[in-house]
Amino acid sequence: MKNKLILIAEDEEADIGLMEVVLGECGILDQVAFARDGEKALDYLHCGGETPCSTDFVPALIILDLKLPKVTGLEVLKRLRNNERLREVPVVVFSSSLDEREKAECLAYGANNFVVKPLEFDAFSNALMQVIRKYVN
Amino acid sequence: MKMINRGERKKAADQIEVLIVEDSATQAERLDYALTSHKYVTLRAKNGREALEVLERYKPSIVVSDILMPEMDGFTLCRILKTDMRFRDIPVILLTSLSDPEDVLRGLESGADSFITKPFDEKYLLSRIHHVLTGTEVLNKAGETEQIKLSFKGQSYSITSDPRKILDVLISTYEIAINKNLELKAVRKELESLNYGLEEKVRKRTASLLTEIEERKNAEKEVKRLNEELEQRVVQRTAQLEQANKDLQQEIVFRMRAEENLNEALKVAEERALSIEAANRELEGFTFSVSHDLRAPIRHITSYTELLRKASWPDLNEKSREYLATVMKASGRLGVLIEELLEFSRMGRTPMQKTDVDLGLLVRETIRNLENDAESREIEWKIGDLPEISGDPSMLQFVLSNLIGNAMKFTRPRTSAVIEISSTETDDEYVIHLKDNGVGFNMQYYDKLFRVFHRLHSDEEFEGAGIGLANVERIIQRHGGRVWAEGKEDEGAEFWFSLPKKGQE
Repeated sequence: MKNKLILIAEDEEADIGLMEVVLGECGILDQVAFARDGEKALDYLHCGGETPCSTDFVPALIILDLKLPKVTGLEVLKRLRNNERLREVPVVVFSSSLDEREKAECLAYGANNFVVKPLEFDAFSNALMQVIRKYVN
Repeated sequence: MKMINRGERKKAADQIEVLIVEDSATQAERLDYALTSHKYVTLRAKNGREALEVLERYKPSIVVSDILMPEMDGFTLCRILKTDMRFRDIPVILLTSLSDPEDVLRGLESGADSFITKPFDEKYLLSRIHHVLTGTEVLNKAGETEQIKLSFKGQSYSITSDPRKILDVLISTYEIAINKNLELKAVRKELESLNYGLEEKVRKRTASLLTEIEERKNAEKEVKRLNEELEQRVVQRTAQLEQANKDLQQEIVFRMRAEENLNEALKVAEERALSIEAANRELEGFTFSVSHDLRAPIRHITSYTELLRKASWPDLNEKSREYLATVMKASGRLGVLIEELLEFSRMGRTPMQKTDVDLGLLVRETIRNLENDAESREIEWKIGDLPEISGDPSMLQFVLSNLIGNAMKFTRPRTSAVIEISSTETDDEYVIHLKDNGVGFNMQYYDKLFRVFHRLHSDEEFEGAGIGLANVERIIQRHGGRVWAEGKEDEGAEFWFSLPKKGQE
């Protein structure tokens, strides 16, 4: 996985599958990197997926799930916002949660948006592409 | 020593001269005044001896003499005059009290011509003098008389006067006596009447005193009775007060106990409320996390079924297509159910954001949103004046869109749907009323109306998860109001919800 335009941190294979369908239909799947837990997401952000780390990598958009193994989505967000290089990267939380407090918390820690994953596939697809279109040219 | 009246020199031929013999100067003066004021001329002597001296020099027509005098009394003077030839023709009137019959006898013995009782009456004196003077004239012509001897009280009296004179004396005495008697009678009568008056007065006074005494007695009795009554009342009242005091103390003890019990009960109730609240919170948390966790799988089922349909539809036979459609419909319903359940849970958890809400505005906005979503239908809206209340706008929007949405949904079979929204108010709350002419419901199932997952219509007729009204009730209750309904099958439904006025919630 080399420097990609978009990083999606998502542990749910079913969701990843859906996203791959949507991104594939739009032809941007090769611009997207998936991280299956928070730790991997942070690793990728710090090294750009390269060994040794490429320290000047900055993605165009980060899509975060909240319930990530090892390091939670919120923790990832906090660290990003404390990192000088990554402070300005747009971060959109893509969550199953309807919890208003979680939403408020994410926005308070600097998330650019908070999207609840819709139940229907078409709605899901629209929501994802709307976000990508807004933050990636 | 003799005393000569001043009027002596004035004596005329026709005037009668009277010798007054009287030792008392005041008596003499009285006689003098009475006589001179009736044209008599007077001579005066202080006793019998002086009178004799006067008589030596003058010849009065008549002598009026007192009886008791110093040196010579009236009887002696009279006797001397009647035995002296020179003076025996001069009539003598003795002034006497005539209280003693002896006086009369001695007077007669001394030869007195008449008697005048003391104290004398002036008229009587004058008439006596006149009578004696005229009578004497007759008598003098009658000449000598024989002597009468009388014995009275062991004393003998020799009376030489003529019978006429004696009779005269006796009659005058008798007259005096009668007068005295009359006087006495009058006095007695007066006394009697006085006595009677007095008796009457005494009787009346006694009667009034008796009445007074009776009244006083009665009054005393009454006072005594009142006193007793008062005492009794005081005793009674004291007893009552004591009883009341006792009762009060018991009541206080009772109330204190009741308060303790109440406090205890309150504590228990509070604890129970707290534990119920905790349990509710736990249950809600559970509901939330369950529905939350269900959300991802159902999303995947729904989405992947859709992907499956897209990918394989052309290759599927009729039967397989039917199966796939059923799976998609079921997963769709499950999705709606979970979404509504999450909403229901969220309504109980989210803190209220109260502001002023214009219900009229909110109703119109809600209708506009619902009409945009629904297929175009003819609905007659009748919307009355709606109040401005204090509440959470998004929650109230949820309530209105549920109730109005229901009304729209259940009037769908009607060719002319009518939905009315109005409000009334009491002192402390507003009541919002929604009425439709839809399919209504059977009041038999009223208790299921506001309960989660309970539906009164099949999903084939009207879609829904059976959570909307439960949510409506929850929101209205959180606002301090109530919600209730009435319905009749095939005639329509009515819903009411109340909201407290500002400052009453």
